[in-house]
Amino acid sequence: MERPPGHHMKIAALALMVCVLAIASLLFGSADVSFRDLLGLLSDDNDAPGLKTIVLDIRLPRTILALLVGAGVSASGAAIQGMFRNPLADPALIGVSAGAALFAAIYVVMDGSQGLSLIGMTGSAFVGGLLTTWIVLIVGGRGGGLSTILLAGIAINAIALSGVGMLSYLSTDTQLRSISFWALGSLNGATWISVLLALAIPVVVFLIFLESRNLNVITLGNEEAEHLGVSHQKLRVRIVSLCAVAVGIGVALTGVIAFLGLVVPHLVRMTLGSNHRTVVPASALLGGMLLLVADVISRTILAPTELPVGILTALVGGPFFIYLIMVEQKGRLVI
Amino acid sequence: MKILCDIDLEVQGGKTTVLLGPNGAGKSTLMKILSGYLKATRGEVLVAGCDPEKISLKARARMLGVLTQRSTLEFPFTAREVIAMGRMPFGVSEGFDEVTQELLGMFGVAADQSYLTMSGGEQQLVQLCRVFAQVWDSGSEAFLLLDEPMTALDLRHQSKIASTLKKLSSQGLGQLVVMHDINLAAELADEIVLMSHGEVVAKGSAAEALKVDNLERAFDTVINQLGGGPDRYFRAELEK
Repeated sequence: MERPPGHHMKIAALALMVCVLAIASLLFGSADVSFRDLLGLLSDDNDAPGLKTIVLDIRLPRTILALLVGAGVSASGAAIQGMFRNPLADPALIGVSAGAALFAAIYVVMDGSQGLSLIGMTGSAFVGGLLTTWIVLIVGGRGGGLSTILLAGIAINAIALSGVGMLSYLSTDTQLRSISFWALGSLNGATWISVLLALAIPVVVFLIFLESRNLNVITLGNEEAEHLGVSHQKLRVRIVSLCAVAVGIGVALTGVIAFLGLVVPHLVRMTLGSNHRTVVPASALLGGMLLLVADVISRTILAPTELPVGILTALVGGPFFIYLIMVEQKGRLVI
Repeated sequence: MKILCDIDLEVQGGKTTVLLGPNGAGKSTLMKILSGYLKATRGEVLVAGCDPEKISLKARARMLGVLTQRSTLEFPFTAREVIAMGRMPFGVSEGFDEVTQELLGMFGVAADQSYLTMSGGEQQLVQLCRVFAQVWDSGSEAFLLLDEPMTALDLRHQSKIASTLKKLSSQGLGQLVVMHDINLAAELADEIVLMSHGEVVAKGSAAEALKVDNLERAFDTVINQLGGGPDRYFRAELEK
């Protein structure tokens, strides 16, 4: 008996929505761009150099970066939740965001130059994210249990964030602004170079997708997974490493994007079920889409200035998540 | 601290061995060692003549279907998806294969119902079907290790599971089952191993192992035998 085509159709529908929103996002911002202008750019009828710069050098890389970072953070959220068998787990649990934040802050404070380089800042954040995750794995892995890793994650997060606090206290006003702005998350600095760096994210998301069947099995428990041929220890190292890379690149390029990795997989499970073969790609698509929408709102709502997108995702994601939990609890009680 | 001591046990193809004993007797630990999940500090465990540590996890999964005592699932997988996980060692996991379909129909499981909305008994049935799916067409090539499979099941489903175990046994499948129901154990088992405090108290056929003094020694309580021969029935005396 063949698998019904429903799931493929839903993924295809999501992918189509992503394409439509991606095109639509090019139209929004402080400068007016019409659909006709876009078509003009495609057919080379429009010679306005300002329009070309706005669409091709500012909005298009920003749109692509939003889709890639949103996809990476959300697919990682799905994988971390499956791995830790906890639908309320978040990629931040493995320490990647806090580690990236600490190293970004170190870079800002140590760097004597006035202008911060993209490579220096993102490189430091990326290394920091990976290093912290590695420490969480080493410290937490000793106990063998998932709770040990979670506790190690909480402790290392606290240490890293206290480091950020200390550096913020020691920094100058300009440095403090850089640290705060980065910690709030923004796609404002998107360039084609950042898009190029973020191209590693879809590769990592695909590698996470290849682990979907193993993620399904691990939700039964570590022992059950072993009896079904999956080593939970090896899977844990693979998943945490992949997520650290995906989230690490995202956080390094855009700062901390709150709540996306927690809310999106949860939303997908509520509507499309729990099979990770659906949850991982659907989370990637929906996560990219939601970050794109959040970014469009953040750059238009206070135009010509911009609201950091991390504030918006937390502001909308937090209450929405509470609503989801309440609806779910109500549903369970009725049942 | 010694948990198990002096255990000499062989599970043969086509035979059902039942482990009986009080809580904390070491039955589940023995199951974990036999399944390869835990390693014994001393002694030797062989699965089909090989050290389980030297068999890859995938190969072991094709050889051993294991039901653990507690399997928690926090995500709303459907019953079909959970059962299909048992086919994963064979590279099939979408839930539309013949074995999954057959088990869903055979046990009357609602294929598309969320596991989280099921009762404890229904969840246990789904977990059992998952383990059956793992060895369903393996015949004498595989073994079943079941830790308290009848927990939370109603009488109808207990009887259905018992029949299925007998059918699988007749196809050559070796089984080791941990149970608490002495009378059901007597009906199912080719061999009964009675354990207490990590040691074997009695071993043999139901007639040999299930004697009142053995049971009283193992469970440390007064046991009454009602009836005789194959119709005998054991019950623990109520405390006054």
